[in-house]
Amino acid sequence: MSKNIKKPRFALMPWLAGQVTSRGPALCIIAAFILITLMCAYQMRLLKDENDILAFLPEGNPEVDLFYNINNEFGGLDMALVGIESPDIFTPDFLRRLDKTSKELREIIGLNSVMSLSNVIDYEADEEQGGVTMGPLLSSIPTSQEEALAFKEKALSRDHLIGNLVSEDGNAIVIYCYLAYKSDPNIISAKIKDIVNKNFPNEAKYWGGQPFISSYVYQVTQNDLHNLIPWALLAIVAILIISFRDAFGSLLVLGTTGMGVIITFGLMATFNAPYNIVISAMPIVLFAIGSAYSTHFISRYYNYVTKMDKDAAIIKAMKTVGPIVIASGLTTMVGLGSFIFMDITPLRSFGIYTALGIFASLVLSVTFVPAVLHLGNFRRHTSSDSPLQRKLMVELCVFARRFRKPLIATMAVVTAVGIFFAAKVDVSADQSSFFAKGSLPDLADEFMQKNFGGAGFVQLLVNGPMDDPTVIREMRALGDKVMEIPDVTSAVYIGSVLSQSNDAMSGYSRVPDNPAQAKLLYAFFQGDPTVGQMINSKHTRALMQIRVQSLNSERQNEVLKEIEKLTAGMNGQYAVYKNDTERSKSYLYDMTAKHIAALSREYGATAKPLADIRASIAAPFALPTEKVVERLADFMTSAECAVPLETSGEVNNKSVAAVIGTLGDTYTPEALEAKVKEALGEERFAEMGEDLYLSIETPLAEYWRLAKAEVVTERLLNDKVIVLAASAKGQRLPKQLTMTAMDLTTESVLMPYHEGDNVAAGSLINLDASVSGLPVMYRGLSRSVAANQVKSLVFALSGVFLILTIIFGSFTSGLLATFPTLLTLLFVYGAMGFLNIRLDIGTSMLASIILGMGVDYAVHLTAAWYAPEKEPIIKCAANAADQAGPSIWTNAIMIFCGFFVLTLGQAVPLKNVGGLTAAAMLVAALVTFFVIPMLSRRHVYYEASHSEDEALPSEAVNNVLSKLVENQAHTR
Amino acid sequence: MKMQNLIRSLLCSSLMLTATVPALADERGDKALQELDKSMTAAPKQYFIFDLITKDPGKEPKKFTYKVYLKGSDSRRIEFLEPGDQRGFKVLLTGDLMYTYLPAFNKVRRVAGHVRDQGFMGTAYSYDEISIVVYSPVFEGKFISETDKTITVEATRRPGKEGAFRFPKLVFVLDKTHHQPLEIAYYNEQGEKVKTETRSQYECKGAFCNPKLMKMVDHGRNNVESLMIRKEWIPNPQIDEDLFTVRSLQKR
Repeated sequence: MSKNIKKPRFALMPWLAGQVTSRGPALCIIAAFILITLMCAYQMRLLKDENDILAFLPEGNPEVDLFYNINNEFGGLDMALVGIESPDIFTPDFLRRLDKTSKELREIIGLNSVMSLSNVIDYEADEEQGGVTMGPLLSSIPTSQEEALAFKEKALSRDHLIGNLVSEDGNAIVIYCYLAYKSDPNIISAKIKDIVNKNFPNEAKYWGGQPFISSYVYQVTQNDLHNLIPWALLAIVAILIISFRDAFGSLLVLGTTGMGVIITFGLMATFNAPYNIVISAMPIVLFAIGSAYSTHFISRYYNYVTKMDKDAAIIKAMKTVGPIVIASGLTTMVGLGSFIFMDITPLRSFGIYTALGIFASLVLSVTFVPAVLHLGNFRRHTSSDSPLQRKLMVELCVFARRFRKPLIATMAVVTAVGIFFAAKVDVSADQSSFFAKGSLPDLADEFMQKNFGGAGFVQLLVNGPMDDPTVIREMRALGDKVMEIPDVTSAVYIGSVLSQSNDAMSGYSRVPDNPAQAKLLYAFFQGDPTVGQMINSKHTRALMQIRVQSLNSERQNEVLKEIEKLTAGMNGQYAVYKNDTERSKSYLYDMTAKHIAALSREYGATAKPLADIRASIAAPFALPTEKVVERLADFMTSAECAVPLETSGEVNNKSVAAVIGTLGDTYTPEALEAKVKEALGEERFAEMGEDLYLSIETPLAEYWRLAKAEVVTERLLNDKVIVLAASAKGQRLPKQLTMTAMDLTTESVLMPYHEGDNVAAGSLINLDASVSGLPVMYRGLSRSVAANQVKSLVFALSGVFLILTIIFGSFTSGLLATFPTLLTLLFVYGAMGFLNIRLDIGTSMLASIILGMGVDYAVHLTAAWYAPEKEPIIKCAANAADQAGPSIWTNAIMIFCGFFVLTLGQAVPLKNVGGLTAAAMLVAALVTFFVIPMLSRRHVYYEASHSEDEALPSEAVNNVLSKLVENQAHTR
Repeated sequence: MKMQNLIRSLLCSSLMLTATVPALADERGDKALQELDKSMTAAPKQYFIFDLITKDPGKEPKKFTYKVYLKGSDSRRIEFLEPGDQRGFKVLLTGDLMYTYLPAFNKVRRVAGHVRDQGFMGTAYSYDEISIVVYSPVFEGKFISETDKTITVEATRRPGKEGAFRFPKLVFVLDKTHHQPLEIAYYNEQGEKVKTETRSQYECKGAFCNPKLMKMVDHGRNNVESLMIRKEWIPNPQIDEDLFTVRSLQKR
């Protein structure tokens, strides 16, 4: 024997063997394990189900944390989208069903609110009596096609609805459903689907948003596991029974593994670890791997018990195979235990508890199993031997040893090819990590892409005082720049909501002028989840939702970088300046001109260069007094005027307006009061003067600003600085231009603060913007996955190598036993690179699982490597294959079948993990049968496994070796 | 099966059937609703100051303070006192018309029509629930049960009144002494209880009674809770008629 071979290091085994072969301790062991199993089975009732896909987000990753915190604060993850596509949307029947659906959805307990084309609130100026008419956009269900078409015209004239609630062509709509805080997405999604399917049985429907995605992924995976796990376990059991050919042995193995599974779930329940979709796959892993330990032990026992009494056979089996089984179990535990370094809780939980399950199976195999064997008198009546299988194994190993040099060269080439393809593995997690092309969430994505300008949202978070309209305008400027990036289709932010509400409350569709107005307008939206998605409750943070066309991840990252660049340009210190200096006026002209250019692009108009727009809006003009007088006269007859004037008589609305109009656009309150007195006369003034003055004071100032802005717009159009598009939307641009031009007369402006500037106390503002959203979250996720992979793999490899070095007593032997699994990993990564399978949450689990499971084969083959010193090493290969080969292949086929079944489902993560693990196990076995014989240089690596009686060559070994000798003689 | 068990099963089935049959109005139930309406409108004019506190799970509580002037059943004027952002915001409701005075805009705005069944400024109340004063024109009552102190009435929305109130069924627990609700349960079309309102700490001044505390819990929104605490109450105050006009709204 080689001097390097150390004595067995498992002194525990003889002691344990002594215990399990004594009746008392054996009974105690059996009773204790049965009791523990029963307790754990009872505990299992407390197992909590976790179905939240967000649990798979890594912890402590700044990009993922930002995404999660933003969406938690702004409620983005609580929004379910129902898309409906139909050419008949604007028909009485469809609208009636939409209205019914919206009402029924609202009644779902757990839904905070529902918004659709039928119930969205609409404002319209009341031209006759003044003020505004407010109500649902669909105030009554059309009874004729003419009424339905009139509604279509109205809906498609609302710019803020197009691309959000209805597609531009009017053939698709979206219903937004906002879930209440902590509602169950699975339950609510199912209820929403029931109602929508009932009311729209024949239309094409799409289910998007986090609640639907989460419930889809959960259900598909659960369905797959529910349907496939029994088949996977059946396959494992069938292979076990076929290979074992012994009912009692099979039952003992299955029973022991089952106890291991129950104990594991019991521990999970005790430690409050939730049951999730990854944990669902744990029984397959435990049955596939955990059963191997008992199998090895019972097989060896059956071999010995034919030659000696049962207790001697148990003791001998424990001494010879026990340490190898323990080493093999420990390496698997290390592989799975390496998940502890992952920052994704469900994966970490899977690793920890599967490792515990392996440990339980391992302990049961060296305690419970021998104790049961001791108490019974079990012998195998039929041989499990398959001469052909043994012969094939032996031939394979002998072949690898004989042709080791060309095979080493081939291995080098295969390794190089593996490295080449492994280097191409894309580490990028995105939604395809969770669902496949053609799945319901993917179809919803396509629907949003086709009809609503994309489903990918980049979120731009701005920290700053959002009560200040100057900050909102700065956000608008940033949005305008973002919209210039190709592939960005929209940028929605709180400014649009403020403009709409300002339109309703003051008649001007623009961001209000001062913080007091903004604060008051915000108050109307308290509790509105649509607005809650744009601004937080304290108005200190706002979110811009930037819609990006669905792109490949490369282009998406480019867009992201461009947005990040613009965002970085916005960060800094600003101050609110009075709009009374050349600098502030110039800044305002620049800002307004840029927004006008952006509006022109949005409304399809043709615009001259920015400098021309700026020159046009900055040019002086004559006061538009006539318009102001006309508007004031109309106002003074409206219901909003506290003292409506007559339209006829000596003193009427027009005469009063004409007198007041002579004031011009700049006047003091006293001057206005004097003009009112002049217009009304002493007597009337005494009767109604104060009320009229109070009524017209604000409208008059607004009419001047409006009229001046209209002059700016007219000049832009008349001078063809801007040429309108012919479309209906294009014709709505002038109103937007006028609203923007009113900004030129605002009282204050936000500008970058220059050191030494004289600004009012408290007017300094820090703006800080950061980019988030799904693309950023996926980028963070990818980084986490890559880091997890490196950390867990390094730990697993080091741990496995250390254990093998200890068990085989040398560094090189440890390396030899580790090497086949390294090549298997290379194969797996190479295959992933070749097949374009990304390294994502699911596939990042593979390396450690494969390492933990695959290394078993090398351990068993290396431990079985033996021949007397005088014999050639080729005989070691033959003996090792003969002794360990059948069980290695049985286990590889068992795992292959168990995991291959998972590829038959729909869940993408299961398919990837199942397929690659199944293939990897066969490769691991094959590589082991080549690499160990190719690289071995000793006659034995683990002495304790071998004894004189085992040294006798088997029939298969004799056949193969004698045939080899014959061939060699014949060749000579 | 024993005869006793069979009878018990049949009885249970009958009870379940009764429970699913819509309640039919009866004289006693209708009378209780009319008495409730009478009690609610007993004072021709009223003046209140309320604190309205809303606790939305996952969010910070929100508080409004406002005063209300009531005249009859269809004129009311509301003035916000707190928070500071909304101080001076006034609303005048007359029938279906609403006039608002927004101090930051310094002008009156006429708002025709409104959305009754939407949430009221993020509270658990909707405009419907906050503005309904009389029930019997919209609901018909059915007597359910009574105790020494209370009577329970099921109110079903009258046919053709679907637009007048969102919920088709309310269940009132009314105090027999002052004919006002101690609890109102709001049921949706599916028969699920979606809101519960409790009114407590009743105080009576002469012939007029009013609760000091009203609490609405919206079960559909994960039990968002709004607490309306009455800080001041004057039945039949000396209020100038002019208070319910547009010109008074714009007065600073």
